[in-house]
Amino acid sequence: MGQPMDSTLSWSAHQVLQEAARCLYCHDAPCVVRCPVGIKVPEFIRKIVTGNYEGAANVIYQSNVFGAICADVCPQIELCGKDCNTRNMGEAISIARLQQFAVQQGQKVVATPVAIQGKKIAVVGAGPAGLSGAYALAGRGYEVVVFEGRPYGGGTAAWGIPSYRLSPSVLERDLARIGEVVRDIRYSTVVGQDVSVEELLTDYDAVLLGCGLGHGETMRIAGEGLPGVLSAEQLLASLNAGTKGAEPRAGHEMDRVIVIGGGNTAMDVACVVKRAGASKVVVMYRRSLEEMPAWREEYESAAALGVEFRFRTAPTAILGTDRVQALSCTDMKLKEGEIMGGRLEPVVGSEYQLAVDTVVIAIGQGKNRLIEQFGNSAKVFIAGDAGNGGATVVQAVAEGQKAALAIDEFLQAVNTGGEGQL
Amino acid sequence: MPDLRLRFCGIDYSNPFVLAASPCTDDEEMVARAFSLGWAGAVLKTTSVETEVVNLAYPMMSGLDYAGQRLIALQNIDLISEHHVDVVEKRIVRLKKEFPDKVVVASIMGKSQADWQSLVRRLEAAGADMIECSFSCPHGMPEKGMGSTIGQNPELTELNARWIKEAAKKIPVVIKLTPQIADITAAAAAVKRSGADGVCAINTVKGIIGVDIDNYAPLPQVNGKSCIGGISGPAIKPVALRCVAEIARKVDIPITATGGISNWRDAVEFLLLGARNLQLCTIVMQHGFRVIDDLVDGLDNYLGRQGIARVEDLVGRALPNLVEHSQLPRGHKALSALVADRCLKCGRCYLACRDGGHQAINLGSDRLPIIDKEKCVGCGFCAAACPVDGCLYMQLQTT
Repeated sequence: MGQPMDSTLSWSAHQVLQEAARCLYCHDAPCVVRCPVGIKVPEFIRKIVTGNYEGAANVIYQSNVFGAICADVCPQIELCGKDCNTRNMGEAISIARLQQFAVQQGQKVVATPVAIQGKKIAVVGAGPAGLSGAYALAGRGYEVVVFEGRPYGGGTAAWGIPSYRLSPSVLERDLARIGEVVRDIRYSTVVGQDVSVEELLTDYDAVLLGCGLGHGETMRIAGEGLPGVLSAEQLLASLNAGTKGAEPRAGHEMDRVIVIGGGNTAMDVACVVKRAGASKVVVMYRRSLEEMPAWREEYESAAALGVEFRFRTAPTAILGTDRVQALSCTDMKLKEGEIMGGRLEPVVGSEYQLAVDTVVIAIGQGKNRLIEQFGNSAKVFIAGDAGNGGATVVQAVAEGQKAALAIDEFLQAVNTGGEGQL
Repeated sequence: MPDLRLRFCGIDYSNPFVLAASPCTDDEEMVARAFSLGWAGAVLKTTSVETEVVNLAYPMMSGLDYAGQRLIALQNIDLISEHHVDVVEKRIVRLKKEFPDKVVVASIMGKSQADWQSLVRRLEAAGADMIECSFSCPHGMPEKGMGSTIGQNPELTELNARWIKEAAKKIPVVIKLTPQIADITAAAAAVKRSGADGVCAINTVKGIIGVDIDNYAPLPQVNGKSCIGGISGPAIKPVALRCVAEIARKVDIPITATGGISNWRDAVEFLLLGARNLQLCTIVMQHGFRVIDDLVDGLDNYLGRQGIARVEDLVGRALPNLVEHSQLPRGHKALSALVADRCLKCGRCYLACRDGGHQAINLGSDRLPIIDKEKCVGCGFCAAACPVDGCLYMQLQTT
């Protein structure tokens, strides 16, 4: 309980074999049903048991081009492991560990034969949704061009996930494998600036938007513009190794840090800053622990690192002259007659100040405004965070793959003139 | 407290557990340690006359693993002891002096009447309680006309056993048999005719434990080469049980059983099918002499639970229930039944019945198996395939 979740603590081959042998090899297995991309989990585990590691890796990659990345970052307890039948006689199989092992052992890349279809597809965003969609489309013979505003690929997996949970080498492995099939990725190319929306809509037969969420929400309190106030996105991108140093650092020493928010991103931010050496890191959340949306294991690993929590507390103003010096905050309570999750109000007279040098706002990111610019053209498809408002990497991969199928169907229908029969 | 003593060929053992002739008994200090921990006896590793050349090849052992489980079987290409009779004589003298109540059995192998008889006389004189003769070593020795060459031929078995029995003045003679024979009861009957006192069943099962698929050579690999060897361990238990039961049913001769006995349950099974003495080796090599604690304790507790006063009363108790196929009961019906609260909902019974049976199991929306009593013939495979003991079972139908 409460162990920091490090992907770097990988298992020995012997541990892996022992664990794989525990798998019940269920019929109609719940782990497959629970996996957003439907990895045939019992099949790949069986292949580990028989020593067919290449085959195991192929089973994983057939369903998920982010196979190595997801092995590190998937919330197994929430997904494949949730209904694992071995729970009825002990612990769920550590599917993620087995997947980590398989993708490390079996490195064979199956080159996809490309049949030219004569259709061009623009993909916006080189993150999990965009790249998984692009991979599926390129594999079907479409000409795919990926536009990525950042100078590196991987999207949220690159900038948003701490490197102790996803090592840059694992990220790089999947991206390189994808790059064998998706050959035209245009980095540092911002759609709407370096290339226009009109151009994409005119020059391409279909557009897949995997552009992720918009910028971080603001709290609308005084002092948000002060140096030392960062969005979760800025903070994570500046410290995570997946960005290859392409993002600017905070520019000052972060020693006393307040993280505002109660989601998984807030937990990640708190852990990253704490691991980077901050002496005091406080997560401030306006409701109670029970109401906090972060997964319990994320909260526990943050607490185990020494991150402090202030529940039922809200910021009222950020104070400082030329940079952040303190945060003014207040206790919160449920309004009269409200039950858990209901409306809140400040506790009168409870206001106090905390001396801080950094405030990170992790209360969620807004919708990506870029999407609106594409209007509602039939040739535009949306996948991943851009459409679902923010979920897991594997969910984005699933949606990217699903969108690719939808685009394929759409273009086939256009080909045969049967557009109306979708 | 149940009485664990058991008499075999006129010798009293404090419990039925004896170390088999093996690397476990090829050293005096090792045997002494085993005795101190509670082993009732030991068959010293097979010895020979001083002129016999024992030319070992290494490595000599390789295990069989299955689904993450190590050593479900072991192959050895070991030979008899490198210590000749002159060394073993001295060991017996000292062991008997230190442990007068323990049973020290000398195992021997010879290639002529003179060899066999001289070995028996010398070892009896040294104080051995019993002689065991290997007519059954499956590798190395048969090339020289020894070991299983004798055990596979009932006439040779009878002839050799008679020589040995004639040489022994007072102590009993036991012949160790090979399972590499069409009818093991013919060999046991030959031993009986010879006048020898008992049989040991079985020596290792001839086999090849596996092949190194990267280097295209069988295992165990002796610098790129291998040879057929003797398989021991849990995997050969069914063969050994069958051999013991066949002999017990047909030949009136005491049996010391060996072959895959790994725990007190196995021990009980061999006793129930007619063994009066039990020899262990592979499990001891794997986990050490200390396993004697649970062998004795487990047997003791079992007897207590069953309300059986003496281990003697177990011997042969299951034999009346071993019949010919034609004599099996017919006309009743036993169908699959489920203990729902044990079910893991893995669906393996469904697959087993669909692809290996009669499509009599369906899965409900809660994933629990539903048994179609019209289609179920009661073959019993689902109960064997279920990963949980006592979850799916065969229920006798009352009409």
